Amino acid sequence: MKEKLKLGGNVLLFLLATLLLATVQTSLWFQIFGYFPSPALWIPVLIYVALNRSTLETIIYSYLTAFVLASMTAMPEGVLMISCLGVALTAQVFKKRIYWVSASYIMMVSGLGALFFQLYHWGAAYVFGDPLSSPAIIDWLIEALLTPLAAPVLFPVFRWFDRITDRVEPMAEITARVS
Amino acid sequence: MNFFAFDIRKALIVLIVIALPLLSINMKRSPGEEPWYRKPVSATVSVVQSGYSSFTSGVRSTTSMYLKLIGIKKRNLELMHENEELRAKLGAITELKLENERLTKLLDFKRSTNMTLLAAKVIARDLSPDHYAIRINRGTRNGLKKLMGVITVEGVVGYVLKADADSAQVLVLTDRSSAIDGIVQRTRARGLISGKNSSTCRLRYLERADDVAVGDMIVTSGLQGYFPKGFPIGRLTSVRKTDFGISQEAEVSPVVNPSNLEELFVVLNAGHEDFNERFGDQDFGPPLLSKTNPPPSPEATAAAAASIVPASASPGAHDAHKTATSAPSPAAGAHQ
Repeated sequence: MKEKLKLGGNVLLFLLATLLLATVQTSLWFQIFGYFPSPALWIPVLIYVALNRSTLETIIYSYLTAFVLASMTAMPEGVLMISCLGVALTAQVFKKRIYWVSASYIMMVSGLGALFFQLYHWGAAYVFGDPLSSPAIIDWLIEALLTPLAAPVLFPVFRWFDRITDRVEPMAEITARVS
Repeated sequence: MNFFAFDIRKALIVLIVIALPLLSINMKRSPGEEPWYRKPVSATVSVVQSGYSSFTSGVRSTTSMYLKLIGIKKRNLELMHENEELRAKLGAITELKLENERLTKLLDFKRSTNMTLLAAKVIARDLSPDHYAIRINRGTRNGLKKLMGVITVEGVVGYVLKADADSAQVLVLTDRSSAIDGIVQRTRARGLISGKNSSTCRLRYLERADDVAVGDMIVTSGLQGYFPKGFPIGRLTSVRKTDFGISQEAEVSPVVNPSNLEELFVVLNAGHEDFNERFGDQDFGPPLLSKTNPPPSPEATAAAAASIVPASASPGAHDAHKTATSAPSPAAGAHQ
């Protein structure tokens, strides 16, 4: 029972982090920088989960992330879910193929995650009959360049979440190195 | 033998030493004339004294300069600080002035129309750079409902996509999933406005025979009651007619800059307002209605400013507003 409570608490903590970071991205950044492209601050959360959890847990978490983010975008929920799932699974595949122990690794994966999110969004919108006529490619690139800057700051916080909820970290050495 | 037992030489020396001042006193000196034997001493004294004087004067001036520099530095810091404060104040005043101008324009517009409008402020933007939705600080508690029109003084912004208790998501007309019923003001040809990219819209489903030209103003049809009739949406920037097909497609540049939105209005009730009757094409453009209305009083401007505050700060402040009809818009419903 206690284990389940800790697991639930862990998931809730990460969802809360997703919510807070996404609101910072959409509201606080907007208040300060206006319509200048913002870093996808919530992407590192999804990347961390993808790198440190089982595939099943990652899939469930991706859907929960989409559920949290849906209220902050006009993007259809289905497309959002597919995009989140695509990013998380890509990160898992990436981890199995390419991996090194460094802060640059999580930065790179987070940046790629931000870019892949847009690509999956573009693909899903195209497949489901709502294609992007003029993708904001410059915005995608700026977002992908800004997102990695947040990752090294956020990962130690996520690791702390895991520590206080007694989660085992399969890639603890990565996050330990950068914290 | 010396009778008095004293040294005569010593006595003489003492006598001479004692007598010297007397001799000196008794010597006659011409005024302004230095005796020859004093000249070298005077010259030396003069040089040394001048040296001392120059030295002390130099030290004094250096010290004074140093002290002044300390004072200047301190004063400079004070002035810099004061300058920064004044700059900040100037920035705030400029911002207030601009806000006042915007609010005056909004109030002017609100007073001149039959519509029931609710002022709102943009608080967030869309998560994705490919979607153009914004969040405003008004929700169902303020009488907002889904599909209600959102406008500024210049023209149409979009419509309410989702309404929560204290905030609402507004789909901007430049979003590709938006759909607003529009007509060409000059020829009354009908079409559907939807977004293309951040600064361009498309006018779709125009009939092939419709008379449209670059520069035509597209206005709202007002059919569903979510927008006033004849309210500006944008101007045609290009018209494309393919060799086959039954319709033609046109590109529209919105009159509202979607990436520059701060304060806007939600149309709670369009009140059968018809802008076609009041203004011709040439009258469009900001400020839309200032031609017919006197400038508002400062009190009225302050009231308008007060109405653009977070919803949480004035719950139920707009309960008295009439709400628009809840019948769903077929045009806007195209988003679903």
